[in-house]
Amino acid sequence: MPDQNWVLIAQQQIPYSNPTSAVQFQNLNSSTATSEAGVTVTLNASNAPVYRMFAKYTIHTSSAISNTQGYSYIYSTSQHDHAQEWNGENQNTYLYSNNQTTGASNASYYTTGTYWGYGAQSNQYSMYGWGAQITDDAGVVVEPYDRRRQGQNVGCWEFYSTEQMYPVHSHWTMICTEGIQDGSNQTSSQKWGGYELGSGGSNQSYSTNEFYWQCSYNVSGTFLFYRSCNGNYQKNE
Amino acid sequence: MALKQKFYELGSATTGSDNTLQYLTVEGLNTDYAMFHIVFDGQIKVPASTASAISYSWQYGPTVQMQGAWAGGPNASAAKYRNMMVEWMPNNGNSTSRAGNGAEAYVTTSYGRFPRWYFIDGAYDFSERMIMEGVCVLPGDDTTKCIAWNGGGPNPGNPGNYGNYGIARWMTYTKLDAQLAASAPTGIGPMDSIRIGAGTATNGDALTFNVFSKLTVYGMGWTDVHST
Repeated sequence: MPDQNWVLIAQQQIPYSNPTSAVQFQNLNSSTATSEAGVTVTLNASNAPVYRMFAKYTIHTSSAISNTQGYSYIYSTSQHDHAQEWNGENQNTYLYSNNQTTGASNASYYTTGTYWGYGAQSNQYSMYGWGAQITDDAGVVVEPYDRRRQGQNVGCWEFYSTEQMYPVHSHWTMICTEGIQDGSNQTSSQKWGGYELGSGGSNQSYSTNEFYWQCSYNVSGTFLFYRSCNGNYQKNE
Repeated sequence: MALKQKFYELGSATTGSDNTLQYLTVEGLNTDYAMFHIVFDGQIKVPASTASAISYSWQYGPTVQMQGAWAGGPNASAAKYRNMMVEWMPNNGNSTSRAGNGAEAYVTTSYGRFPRWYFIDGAYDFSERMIMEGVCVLPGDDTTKCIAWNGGGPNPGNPGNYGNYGIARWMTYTKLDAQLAASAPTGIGPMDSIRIGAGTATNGDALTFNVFSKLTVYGMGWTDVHST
């Protein structure tokens, strides 16, 4: 198998039993790749210019997420310009299967980061878990409100760096939930989910050594940070 | 917590030179990866007998099914999907979205679906083309599996009328219903298969994939954490 140019440099695994409101990836430009021949390369902005984080996360609240309650930034949480489009529970509480709803957009400056809150869904909302107990393939009984059956937000945050200008990062997030009733005989869904597209950046530093992801509520889930290189530096294990 | 650099193409299906296939299916996926990257790159073929009936109209996109939950599949009885479709039509302002699949009335449906594309009879052979990239984080964990899709692309046209109804971007979120007893046990099982279908036209006629349409699943690294 030849060497490759993608590297999974770091992960943050936040257990459901010990959620947090902040996820950080630091020293991004000190990560390394090692080839089949045993050559180790430090991944900097020059030889690994693509930074991409994928996440699957559950937000531990019953409250609707406001836009500024979820945000992300590189290096510094100030003086961000940002722009977004979204549609979610704050805008349309109900979504109808035989109807479509229209999204909204916004842009601003001097903000704490670029916001993704309107594209997220709280995962412990009222009336959640209307289903019955089930038994998984291993014979374990799983309650309808168990973490394994809660809704999961999915998103991607990415940027490209030369460290020779103020970096911008972009993101998308989305989620679809079970609403509050048996959807097999419902034509509309409350707490149906949401999505957003956004981007932004500050004018504080050219550095892309640190990435921060923040939520006003506790969150659990998986955050995977990838780099793509301008050469095949990594052995495929 | 450990990571490994495992990046592999895990499976693919293509129509090759056949333009009569309704489904592209990849099964038996090894779910021992940190993430799946799923790429559907294809074209829809509208039968000549259907073309005039649906010309100049929006058509719902290919169908999405997963974890063997489809008619005739190993988990057929689990085919209870939650699906959200988002589409950007340049001639229609901001994004629009809906729950369900556009064809079935209820929000829990028997399959997921990508958003709409526009058909004009007489378009060049490969003009109903599209690409969707899906991610499934922790395809082997013990929680509900979901695929988040981004893509778009169909820009239909014929020599006399082209490019007026393209899609700027599609987003879709597909999963099995995690509350219904019929689907929840499969939904929290492994993300071991996926099937993309060409779907049906608004008049009910079956569509097929055109030649060289392809569905590919890539494994994107490995982690030893599979239960959070």
